[in-house]
Amino acid sequence: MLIKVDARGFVPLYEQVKAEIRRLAALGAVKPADPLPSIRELAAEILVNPNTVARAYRELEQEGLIVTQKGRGSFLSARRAQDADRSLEAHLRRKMDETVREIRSFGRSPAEILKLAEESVRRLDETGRKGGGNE
Amino acid sequence: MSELLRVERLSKAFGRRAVLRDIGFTVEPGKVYGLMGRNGEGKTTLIRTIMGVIPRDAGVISFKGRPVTFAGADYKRAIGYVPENPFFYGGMSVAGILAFNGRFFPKWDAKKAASDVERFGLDPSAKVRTLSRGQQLKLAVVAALAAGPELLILDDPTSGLDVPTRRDFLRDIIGELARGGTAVLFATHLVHELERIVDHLFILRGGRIVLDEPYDKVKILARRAVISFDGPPPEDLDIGPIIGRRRMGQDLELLLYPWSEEVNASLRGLNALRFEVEPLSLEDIFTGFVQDER
Repeated sequence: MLIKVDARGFVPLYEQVKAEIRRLAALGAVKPADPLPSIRELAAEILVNPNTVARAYRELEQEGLIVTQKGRGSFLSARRAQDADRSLEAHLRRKMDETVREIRSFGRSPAEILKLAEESVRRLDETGRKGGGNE
Repeated sequence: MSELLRVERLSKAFGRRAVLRDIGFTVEPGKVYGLMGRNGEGKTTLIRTIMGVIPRDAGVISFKGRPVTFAGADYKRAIGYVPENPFFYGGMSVAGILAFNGRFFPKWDAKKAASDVERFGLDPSAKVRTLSRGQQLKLAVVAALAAGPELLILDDPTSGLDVPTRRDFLRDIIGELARGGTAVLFATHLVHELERIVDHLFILRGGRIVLDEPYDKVKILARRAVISFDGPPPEDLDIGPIIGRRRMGQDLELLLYPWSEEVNASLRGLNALRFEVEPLSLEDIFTGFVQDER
C-alpha cells in the first residue's frame, strides 16, 4: 500500500491519510476484505504520529469504508467495496468538497469558485491535447 | 483524570535576567507536545525547572493533580527525561549503564531495555566512550523508556544529528507512541521531525509562552499573504494579526495569525494590485512567532 502525506501541506495529516486510503480503495489498489496495515506499521512507515493514523482509521470506520476487528486489525469493508462505483463517486465528491472548502477559506465567492473550476478544466483540457494525453 | 502535568505561574530568573515569566500550560496523556523556541529562549531552563534540576523562583508544578515537591522519587520515576547532553560514564558498557539505571526504578523493564538496544542497533558490550552522539542519544532514550514513563521529556534531542539519524530517532519515538499512553514533551528549534508528530504546540519567546494551541488549529489559521502594490508598500500597514512582515521591492509579505474573514476583507480593502494567500509550514509559523518584525 503506497500512502503519501505532505507534512508541510495545508491539509491536516489525518485528513491526508483518510484521503489516501479512499483513493486506494477507489482505484481498486486495496480490495474488499484486504487487511490494512496496523496503526503502528503505517505510522512508522509514513513517519507520523500513531494518533494521526488512529484518528483516520476511526473516522473511516464511522464512514463505513473500513471495519476494525479486535485482535485482527482493520480491513476494507466488503459491503462498501461492492459498490465501488458509488464509492468512487463519493470519493470524487469529497475531493471536490475539499477543494471548494479550501478555496472558500480564502474568501472566494461561489461565482468565483465556479469560474476557477471552469478555467481549470479548460486549461487542463488544452494542456492535455497539446501534451498528447499527459496532463 | 485526563491531566498529567500542570505548570502554573512558573518564573525563574538568573540574577537580574528573567528567563521564565509566568509560564502556564498542561500536558495530557498520549499526546505529543512541541515546545519550540530559539536557542537561549529558556526551553532548557523550563525543562530543568520542571524536572527539579534547578529550583524555580515562583509557581506551582502539579503531576496528576498533586503539587510536586521533588522530595520523593515518585515524580521523577514517572518521567523519562532525556537531557540535551546525556551524561554517562564513558568506561561503562551499554548493558552496564542499563543494569545500573535499573536499580533506581521499581517499574524497570529489563526485557524492554534489551529489546530496544537491539531495535535501536546498539551493541550491548560497547563502551559508552566509543558511541557516537546519535548512539548516546539512543542509549538515553532506551534508559528513559525502560523505566515505563508516563511522560517522556526530550530536550532538543536531534540537534547536531545528521538527517538519517534524526529520521531513525523519529521512527523510534513513533514506535514508542504506538505502544500507547506515553505523553511526549519535545523541546526543539528544528521543525522537520516535529511537524510530523506534534499534536499540540507551545512557542516560547521572551520567557513567555506566546502560542499554546492544537497544531491542526494553528495550521488552519496561519497564512502568508503576499501583496503587490503600485509603488513602495506602506510602512505602517495595520490589518490586525500580523506576526511577521517583509518587504520585497513593491511586494509586501505578511505572516498572519489567526486568519479570519475580517483579515481577508481588510486585505481586499487595501486596493492593492493583487494579493495571494497561502498556508504556512511549521517552519514559517515558528519563524513568524519568534522573529522580530522587520
